[in-house]
Amino acid sequence: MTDNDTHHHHRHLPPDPEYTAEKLQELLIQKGLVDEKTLDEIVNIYEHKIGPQNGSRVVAKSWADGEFKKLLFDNPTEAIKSLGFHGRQGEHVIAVENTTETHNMVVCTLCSCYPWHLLGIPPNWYKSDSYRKRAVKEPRKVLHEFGVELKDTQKVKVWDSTAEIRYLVVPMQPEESKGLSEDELVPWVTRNSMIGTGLPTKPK
Amino acid sequence: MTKIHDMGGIPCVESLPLENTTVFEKKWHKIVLSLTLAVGALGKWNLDRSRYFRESLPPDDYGNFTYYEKWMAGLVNLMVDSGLIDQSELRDFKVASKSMQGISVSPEALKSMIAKGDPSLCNSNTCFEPHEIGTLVKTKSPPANNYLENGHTRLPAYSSGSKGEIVLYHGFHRLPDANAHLLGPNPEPLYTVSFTAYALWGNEAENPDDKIHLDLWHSYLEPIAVK
Repeated sequence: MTDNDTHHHHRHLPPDPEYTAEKLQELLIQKGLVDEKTLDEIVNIYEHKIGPQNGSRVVAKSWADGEFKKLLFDNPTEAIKSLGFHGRQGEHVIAVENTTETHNMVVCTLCSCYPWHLLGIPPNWYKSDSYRKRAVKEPRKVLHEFGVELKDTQKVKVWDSTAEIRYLVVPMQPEESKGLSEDELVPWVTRNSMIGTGLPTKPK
Repeated sequence: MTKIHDMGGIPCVESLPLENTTVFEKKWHKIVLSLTLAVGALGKWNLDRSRYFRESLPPDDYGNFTYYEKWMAGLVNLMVDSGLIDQSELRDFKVASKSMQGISVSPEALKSMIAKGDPSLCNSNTCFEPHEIGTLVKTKSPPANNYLENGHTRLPAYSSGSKGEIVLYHGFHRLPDANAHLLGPNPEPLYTVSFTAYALWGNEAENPDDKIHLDLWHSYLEPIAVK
């Protein structure tokens, strides 16, 4: 089986990744393997269309609308799809709820799996070796580094995304925000609060 | 394959890089991400295979490369491996072979592929009788691929040989251990298994009653008798 001796062609590439990426892009466009407009569209999608604002909408709606909240926990993939969010790296979703007893946080120790359709491209820290090494072993220390202090009564549940199931943390709604409309709630829901490494925050 | 990517629980005193949170820190990061998706859309490999190629980088490269350098190296190796480009083209960045010319995916087609995704859920089959929720299981040890030596697997070393409980059942999903090596989807029941921190880390656990959950396939697990 040739897979056991994977060839390391990348070792012939020039050392500067910026130069290499540009030359590689030119080559692949010239070969007709990629279309420049397609590349621009991909960047446009992940810079402007798909990002944490999608997840914030889902969480805000679950806070404001009890029926949607029930659907979100009963059939998360479909509930999220009903708001128009679906596709790559969001094919199968589980929503996990933070409560006074439980605090959830998400990691991918083997690579960087992340719910792209809800949160966009993962931030640097999520992809870092230190988060991948530490989150499963010392989640409380990691949370402390993010400024999240748990109550003594709260147990931590860590979700290591080892398959194609993507996890959305539904944070507890801050008391101060109760009674606000769905639209008003959206900016309270920070990206990190949906990974479990932050809490919802009053918008500035 | 190296196991350097399998890093959960490895002692680490480094703090988290919390400073930069822009979507793309550098312009070339955009290039690498968009190339990876656009070339991936040609269907010459699957997501499991691209993960396998990234984790098969020599350990010193995997350790030294930044995130998008790993992606670029993985992409280049996949392209040569599957005949999309040849080595001379990589050396001087000039088109040499015309065999795959003009097969690019249009913006519209790519957009619809992103919107559609690629579900790993498959029809169930009769090769496996799924375990029930609540079944106590022990994970396979060592965490080896059953199809080929040193092959791809999604059972992290830190959870290997540990006892946990099945808490969710997700239906039959493509098995990365086979799919990454183009041996077929070979779907198996997929579960979420809950482990106590004590079961994984013993006395080193931060809080023994905290839980760590992993998504694991049927063949990674052995049911154990309840005492």
